[in-house]
Amino acid sequence: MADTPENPDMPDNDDGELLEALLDDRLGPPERAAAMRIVEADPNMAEQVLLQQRIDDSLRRSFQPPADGAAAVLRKLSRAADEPAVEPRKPASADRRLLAALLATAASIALAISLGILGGDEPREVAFKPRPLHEVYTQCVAEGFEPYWVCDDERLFAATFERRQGVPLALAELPEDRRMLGLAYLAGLSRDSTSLLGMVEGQRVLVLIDRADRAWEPDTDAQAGLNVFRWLAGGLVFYEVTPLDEPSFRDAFRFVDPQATEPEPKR
Amino acid sequence: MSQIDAAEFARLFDEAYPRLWTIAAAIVNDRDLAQDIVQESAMTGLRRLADYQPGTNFGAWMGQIVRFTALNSRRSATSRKMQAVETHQFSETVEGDAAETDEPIDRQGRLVDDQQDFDDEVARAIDALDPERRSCLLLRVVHNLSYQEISEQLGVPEGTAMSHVHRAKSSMRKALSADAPAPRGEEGGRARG
Repeated sequence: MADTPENPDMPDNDDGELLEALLDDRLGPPERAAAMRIVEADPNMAEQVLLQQRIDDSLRRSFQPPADGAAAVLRKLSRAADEPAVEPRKPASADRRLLAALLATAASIALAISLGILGGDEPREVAFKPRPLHEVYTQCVAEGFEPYWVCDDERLFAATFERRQGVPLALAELPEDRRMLGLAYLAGLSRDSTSLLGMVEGQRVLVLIDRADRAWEPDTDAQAGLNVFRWLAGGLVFYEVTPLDEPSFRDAFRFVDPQATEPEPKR
Repeated sequence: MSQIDAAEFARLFDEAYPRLWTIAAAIVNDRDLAQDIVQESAMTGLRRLADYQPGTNFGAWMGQIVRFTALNSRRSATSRKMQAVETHQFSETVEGDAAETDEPIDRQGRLVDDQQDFDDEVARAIDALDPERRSCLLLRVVHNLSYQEISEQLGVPEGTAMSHVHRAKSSMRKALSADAPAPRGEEGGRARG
């Protein structure tokens, strides 16, 4: 080591160094056992060890990073990059290139979020915790019913579904009274399902799509004034959670040929 | 020069985030501000994505951005608060302006029993540490990093990182020990206002 640690609280001898290593959690089991025997024989040392453990525990409590902090940062990046589209500006050419790059980046990041590839181990565990669909819907509404990703590129949209569900899916022409807002990442559903937020005459509607052969079977009991509709198509299973009495997006999807320049219906 | 794409950036950022947040929190000593700094740093990282060489330590690269952003923020805040007293953002249970007064905390010759009180005292003790020392300590204690990893993350020699951690721990124990006279300022224990 380039410099020698200094500890005025500890004895300046081998026991002191051993104790330092113990306090720094650098000892293997045999050395740790030896150090503990020394500590137990010395009340002052024992007090120091207990105090350090208490301090360490306190630091871990106080400086625990936010559980969803990374996803929050990336979501904000995505929103920030989208702002110019809402309020058009005239950036200089260099800024325009940067903006274009950021928009492309943000779209990919938002996509990554919506596809659940982010979040580390903990969020993924949470994502697999099954929850009743009405509960997922209610929470989504409470959080603003905002999509994480609005995709205007049909090929990218289809590629997303092909990668996640194995089937390239696109939106069909929708009647005037309904529209798709975008994709969402909703905790409590399978990581492999894709969620879409829709509006029908001012009513919020949630559509969940997954592979039909997946074992995932969400609780579809209708509660909280909601109905849950389920249907199968093209190897996919669709769930629609809605306050309405009829499904609104049953005909909202079509399957496309990923090789074709223009999407073609397969039904 | 090849460059990682946005999805890869997102994946690497997600992986590095806990340490990045800790570095920011260690420097500014404020949870909310730490998140803002990481946010700003992520934007900077995206702008400078061409500077990052794929295959190298992304966490260390972003860590430097976070560090500079946090230090800039700290400098700005310091210059803004020349007349103000710095409160400790991690001490949420301190009543009113108690943390800003010069009244010493009554230790009664022993450690406080209540955990939250103890956390508050720890917060004051760590507030008295130099930011770099605090960064080393938190990466070691909260993230259990080796000294080599701390060295890579912060760009300091391993020996320096180790020395920082030892001195920080020693200083905090001294500040929180039963007979501590509640001194002020850097390395002395509890920092008040």
